[in-house]
Amino acid sequence: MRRGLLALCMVAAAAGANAASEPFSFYGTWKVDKLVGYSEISVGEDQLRGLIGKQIVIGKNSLKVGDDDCKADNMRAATRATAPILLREYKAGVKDAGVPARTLVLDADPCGYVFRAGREIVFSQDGGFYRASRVKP
Amino acid sequence: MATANRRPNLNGTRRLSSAGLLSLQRNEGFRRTYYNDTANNCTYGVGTLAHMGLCTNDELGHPVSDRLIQIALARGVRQAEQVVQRAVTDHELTQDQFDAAVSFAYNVPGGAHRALSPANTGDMAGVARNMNRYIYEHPHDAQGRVSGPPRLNAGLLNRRRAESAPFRVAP
Repeated sequence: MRRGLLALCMVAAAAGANAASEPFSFYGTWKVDKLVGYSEISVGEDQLRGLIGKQIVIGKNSLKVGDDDCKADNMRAATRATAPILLREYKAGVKDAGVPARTLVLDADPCGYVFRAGREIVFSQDGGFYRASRVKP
Repeated sequence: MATANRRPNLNGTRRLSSAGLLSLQRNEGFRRTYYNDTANNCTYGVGTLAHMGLCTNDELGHPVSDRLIQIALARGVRQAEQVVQRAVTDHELTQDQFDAAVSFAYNVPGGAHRALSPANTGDMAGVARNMNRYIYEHPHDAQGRVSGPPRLNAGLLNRRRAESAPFRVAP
């Protein structure tokens, strides 16, 4: 009984370790959980909040956010400093977007940027910054 | 091989006109020093954002050379032109529409692609409607954090009316 429990614990620990060491991928389906901040200029708050609960689907050549399906020419992911991107592309700062100062960034040109924030992602639409969690790979 | 079948970009060679540049400068204002814009972010020249949050005491009022202002303006205009060119590929814009779209993208680079995309199917009313939604600003405090609720900015309201005008006229 004791040995069985020990084995179970070891399997669970190994599974946890695997999950932690899995390489992060932007691809797949995500769900918009919350509005975390704003660019200098945005649309109205009601419209921004309307995106919460919607899905984001990131494919090899597309970024679909809610009903907005954007075709990306060139998807590139790399670890980058976020402040220059946020200032240039969104007129926003690291605190506005709620992203690390340096993190994995998906450049989904011309659809915008997606930032890694722990196991979640942050993206911008209509002047709002949103955090989303993974639904499925 | 896939690129061989790609349709030509109907706005790929269009650039901001001289009249459009003057209009953009009028919309953004022109200052030869660092100053805090209406959202309390440190700015200089033709609406060039230096950084988020208020200017430091050293920055505020510090002169900026015309050369630096023109370099930043040219960079911002080029970025805005590219946003418009990439957002509207399937429908040729008039020069007035292109100029207005560049002014909009210069001010709202992150939102312009989505706002302008209805133009691809000729839905110019949709573009005008989208542009007119970007009228709320989010002021920052001295630490660069958003302070207080979003503010409807009357200046932005007027600017959006002007920028959306070329998209509201019958073709």
